[in-house]
Amino acid sequence: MAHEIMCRSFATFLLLAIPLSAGQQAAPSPGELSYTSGMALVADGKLQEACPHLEDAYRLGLRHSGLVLQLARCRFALGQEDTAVEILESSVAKTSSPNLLLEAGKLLFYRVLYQQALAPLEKAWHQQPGSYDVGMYLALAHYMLEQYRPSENVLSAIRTDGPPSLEFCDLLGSVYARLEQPAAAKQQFEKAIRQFPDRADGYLNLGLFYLEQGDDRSAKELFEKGAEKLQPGTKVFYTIRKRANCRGLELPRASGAKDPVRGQTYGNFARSLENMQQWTSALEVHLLALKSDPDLSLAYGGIGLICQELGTPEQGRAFLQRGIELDPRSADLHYYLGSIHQALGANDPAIASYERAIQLKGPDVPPRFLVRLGMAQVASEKTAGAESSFTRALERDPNFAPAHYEMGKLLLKSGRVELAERSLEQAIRLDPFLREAYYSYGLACMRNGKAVQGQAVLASYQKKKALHATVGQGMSTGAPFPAKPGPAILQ
Amino acid sequence: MIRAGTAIALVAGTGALLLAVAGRTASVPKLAFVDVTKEAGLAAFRNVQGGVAAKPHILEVMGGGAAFLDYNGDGNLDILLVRGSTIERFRQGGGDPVCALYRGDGRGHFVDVTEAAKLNARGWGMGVAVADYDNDGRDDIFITGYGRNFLYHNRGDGSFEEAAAQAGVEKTTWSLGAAFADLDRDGNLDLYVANYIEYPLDRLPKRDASCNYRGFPVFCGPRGLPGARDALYLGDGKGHFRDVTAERGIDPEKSYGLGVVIADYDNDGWPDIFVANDLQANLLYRNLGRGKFEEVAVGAGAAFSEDGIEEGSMGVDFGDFNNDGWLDLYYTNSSYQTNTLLDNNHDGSFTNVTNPAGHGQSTYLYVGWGTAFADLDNDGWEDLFVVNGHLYPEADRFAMGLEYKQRSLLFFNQGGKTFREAGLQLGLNQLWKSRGLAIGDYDNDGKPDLLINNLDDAPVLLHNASPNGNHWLLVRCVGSQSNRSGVGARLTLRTGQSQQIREIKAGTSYLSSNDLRVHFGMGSNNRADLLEIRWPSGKVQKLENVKADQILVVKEE
Repeated sequence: MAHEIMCRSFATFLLLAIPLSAGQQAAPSPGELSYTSGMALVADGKLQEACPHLEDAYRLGLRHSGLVLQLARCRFALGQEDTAVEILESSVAKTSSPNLLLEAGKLLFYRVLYQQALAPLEKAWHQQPGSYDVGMYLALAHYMLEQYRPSENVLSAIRTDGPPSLEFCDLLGSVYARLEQPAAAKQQFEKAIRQFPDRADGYLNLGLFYLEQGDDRSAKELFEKGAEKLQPGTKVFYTIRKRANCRGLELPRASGAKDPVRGQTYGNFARSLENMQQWTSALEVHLLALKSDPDLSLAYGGIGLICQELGTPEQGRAFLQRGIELDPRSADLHYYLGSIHQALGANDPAIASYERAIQLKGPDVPPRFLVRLGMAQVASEKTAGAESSFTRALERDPNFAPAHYEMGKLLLKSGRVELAERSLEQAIRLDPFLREAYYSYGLACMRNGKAVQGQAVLASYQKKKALHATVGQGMSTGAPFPAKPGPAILQ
Repeated sequence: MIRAGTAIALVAGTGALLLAVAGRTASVPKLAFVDVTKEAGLAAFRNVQGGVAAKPHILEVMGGGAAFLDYNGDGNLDILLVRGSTIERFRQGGGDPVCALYRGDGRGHFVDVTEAAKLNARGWGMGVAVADYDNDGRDDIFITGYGRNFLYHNRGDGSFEEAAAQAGVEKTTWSLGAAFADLDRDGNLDLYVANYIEYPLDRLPKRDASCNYRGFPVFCGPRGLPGARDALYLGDGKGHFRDVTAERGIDPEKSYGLGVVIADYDNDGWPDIFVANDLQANLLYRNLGRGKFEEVAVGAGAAFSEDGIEEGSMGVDFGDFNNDGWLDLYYTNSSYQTNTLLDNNHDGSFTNVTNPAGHGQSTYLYVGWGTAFADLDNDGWEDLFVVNGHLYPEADRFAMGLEYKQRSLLFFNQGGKTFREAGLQLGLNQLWKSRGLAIGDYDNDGKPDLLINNLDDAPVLLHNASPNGNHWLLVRCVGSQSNRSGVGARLTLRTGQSQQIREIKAGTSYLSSNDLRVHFGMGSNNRADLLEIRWPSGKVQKLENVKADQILVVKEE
C-alpha cells in the first residue's frame, strides 16, 4: 500500500516512502531521520539548507542511492566539486544500480565533467545496453570529449520503439559530420526537421552544418527559420571546427548591401552560442552576421571576445576597435577592448578603456567594470587606485564575489592578512564556483596561523583544478587554454 | 671621451660596445656595462642547439648554461659555457663537445683551454653546476645533458677526468638544472638534478594541430609529454653519490623540472631546495633535518601564480632584496606571465609582491631564463638581472608585440621596497636569445660582471664598469669541517644599522653557476662592523671591523 502512493517527484517519493515503510518496522535511525529532514527541505526547494542534514545522514552511515545523489547535488551547489565527485565515484564503483549510475552520470555531465561522467554511464550502458536514456548521455559525453567514433558506436546501438528523437537525430548528425560523413550528417538533420518541424533544434544544427560547408545561403535560411521557433531547451550539438582561433582573420570590407534585421538575427544566435562557450561556432555565425550587416557592433564585440577566448587577442583587438568606431558609446565594447589590452600586457590602454566604459555606463556601472579596472591597475602597479576601484565595485554590489576576491588578493599582498581572509571567505561564500579564490583563501588561512584549515582548503583547490584539467598534446609554454564548452542547450 | 651625464648605445654586431653612463639625476642608477665578449676571447663560442631558423623540437630550445669558476685556483675567475648539438650529429656521432672552458687572467682576457683540460666528452649539454664535490680543494664541474650527464673531476694539473658513471650520476633521459649543497650537513656535497621530460629520439612526438602557440604551429611540448623525475643524490665526499630520490620522496609526480636553487629560506640552518617547473606547480622542499624533506610549495605560496595557475617557470634565485635577514625568492616565467618576486614572510611562507615591487608589467611580454640577485652598483641593496629570449623563431611573425630575440632586464633595487627596470636607460638594448646567466667578478675590481649564454649565438660578457665610488667586499670561504667550497655557508655583514645576508650557492639562475665567492656592496661604508659566517657544519665565525674593498679568504676554524 505504501508503495502505491502517487508522487510528483523522486524526492517526494522517497520522503513519503521511508516513514510509511518505517512505520511497519523499527523506529528510523538517526541517519534516516537526518535524511528525511534533508529531503523535506529539498522538496521545498531549499537545497543548500538541506545539505547539513544530508551530510549528517551520510556520516551516520546511510548509503542508499537517493542520499548519495542528493548529497552530491548539495556539494556541487556549495562549490565542493571535488568532494561531490569523490562521493559519486565511490558509489559508482560499488553499485550496479542502473538508476544511480545514470543519475550520477547526468550530474557529472551537467557539471561539464565529461571525462568523469564516462565511468558511470559506461557502467550503466553495460547494465542496460541499448537504453535510450543511458545511451544518449554516454554518446553526448563522448561527443563533448571529441571521441566521435565511440559516440557513433553508442548511438548506433540505442534501441528505440518508435522513430528516433529530435536529440538523437541532431546528435548523430553532428557525429557524422565530425567523422567526415557529410551526406549521412545532412540526412540526420533533415530527418530531425521533418519529424519536428516546430522545433528550432534541427534548423539550427543543420544551419551550422551548412555554414561550415561554406553554403551561407542555406545556413541563413535555416537560422531564420530556427530563430522563429527558438524556445528554452533548444539543443545545439553541432560545433563548427573551421577555425581553431582568429589567426588570419581580417576585418570585413564594406559592402553596399546591408540587412540589419538579418544581421541582428544571426548576431543574437551567435550570442547564444557564446553563452554556451561554443566559441568556434559563435565566431562563424558572427562573421555571417557581418556579411549581412557590416555595421553590426554586436558582432564585432562578440568576435573580439571570442578571439581572446581562443588565445588570439591581438586579432580581437582590431574587431573591437572597429566596433567602437561604429558604436563609440557602447560601454560593453570599451570594456571588452580593455580586457584585450590587458591580455596583451598593455595595461595603461586597458585602464583607459575601462574608464571610458565606466564613464559611459554612468551611475549604472556594473561592478565587473570596476573590478577589471582594478585588476588593470594592479598589473600597472597602481595599488592605491586598484583598492579604490575594488571598493567602488563593492559599493555598487556588496555581493559581487569577484570584487571580494580581487580585494582579498590585494590585502594579502599588502600584509593585511586578517582582512584578506575575510574578503576571500566572503568571495567563496557568495560564489562557491570561484575556484581561484580557494587558493588565495587557503594561503590567507595559513598566514593567519590556521594551518590545518589552510592546508585543507589548498588541497581542495588542487582537486577542483584537477577535475577540469585539459592537456592538449604539446600546448606549448605560455599558451592559454580555452574554457570547456558547456552542455549544448540554449537557455 | 665619454663624459658623465651622457648615455650612448653603439650597436654594431658582436663585440659591440654598450656604454651607458648615467648620473644626471638621483633616480638613475650609476651603472655602466661594457660588452667585452670579443676582447675577452669568447666570441667564437657557439651554443649550438639544433637548427637556427627553425626549431621543430623542444630539445633545441632549452640549453645552455654558463659558469664562473676558478678551476686552477689562481684567484682569477675562469669561464665555462655549455653547448648542445643537433639531432643529426647526436644520432650519428654522439653529439658535440658539451662545453668550452676559458682560463681567465684576471684582467679580462680568456684563453680556450678546453682541449688542454680534456673537457672533450661529446653529447648534448644543457646546464652546469660547479663545486668541489670531493673536498680535494679544487673546483669540479657537473654538466647536465640530454641522454646523460657529465661529472668532471678536477685533477689539479689543469685537466679533468670524466667520472659521472663512476660517481653514479650519469644516467638520465634529459637533465636541465642542477645544484650542489650539503643537504644532510655531513661535510660532503650532495646533488639535486632537475629532470625535464622523456623525449626519446626514436619516438619524437608528431606535430599536430594541438602543437600551436596562439594559432601558430610550433614544436610540441612539454604539455602532453611524459615528465622525468628529478634526482637527489647524497655524496660521500670521496667521489660517489647515492641516489636517494625515491627514498626521500622527491618528485613522485615527475614534474617538468628546470631551474634549481638551494638555500636556507626558513633560517633553521638546513638548506632547502626550490625547483622551477615548466607549466606545473613549482616544488619547494623544506629540509626537515639530515636531508629529509617535506614538499611545501603550495602552502608556502611558491607553487603557482597568485591566481593559483601553473606558470612556465624557468630561472631561479634566492636573495634578500629588502635586507630583513630572510631569503626571498625570484623566478622567471614565460611570456604573457610576469616573473615572480616572493617576499619571505619569516614563517615558512612567501607573499607574492611581483606587481607592487615593479616586476609585473615590465616582464609580462618576455620569456625569462637566467636570473640573479646581485648588488650591481654596490649600494648595499641587491639588484636583479634577467636574461630573456623567446622559445619560438616564429615569434617574429606573431605580430603581438613579441620577438624572438629579446633584451635583458636590469631591475635596480630602490632601497629594498621596489625595483625599477633600468635596462634601456643604461643602454642594455641589445636583443639576444639568452638562456644561461652567471654572475662573477672576473677582474676582481669589486663589481659583479655578467656572463650570458645565448642560443645559437656567441655568448656575451658584460664588464661592470660602473663609475661609482661605492665600497665592496668579496669573501671566499674555505671549509674544513664543512665542504671545502663553503657551499651553504650563510654570511651576514653588518654595517651600522644595516645588515645584509648572502648564502653560497653552487648552481642557480637557469642552468648556471656563479662565482663561489660572496659579494657585498657596502655603499659609502669603508668598513663593516661585523662579518659573521655560519658554516654548514654549524660553526659560527665572526670577524669584526672588516675593511672594505678587498678579497677576503676565510678558512673555517
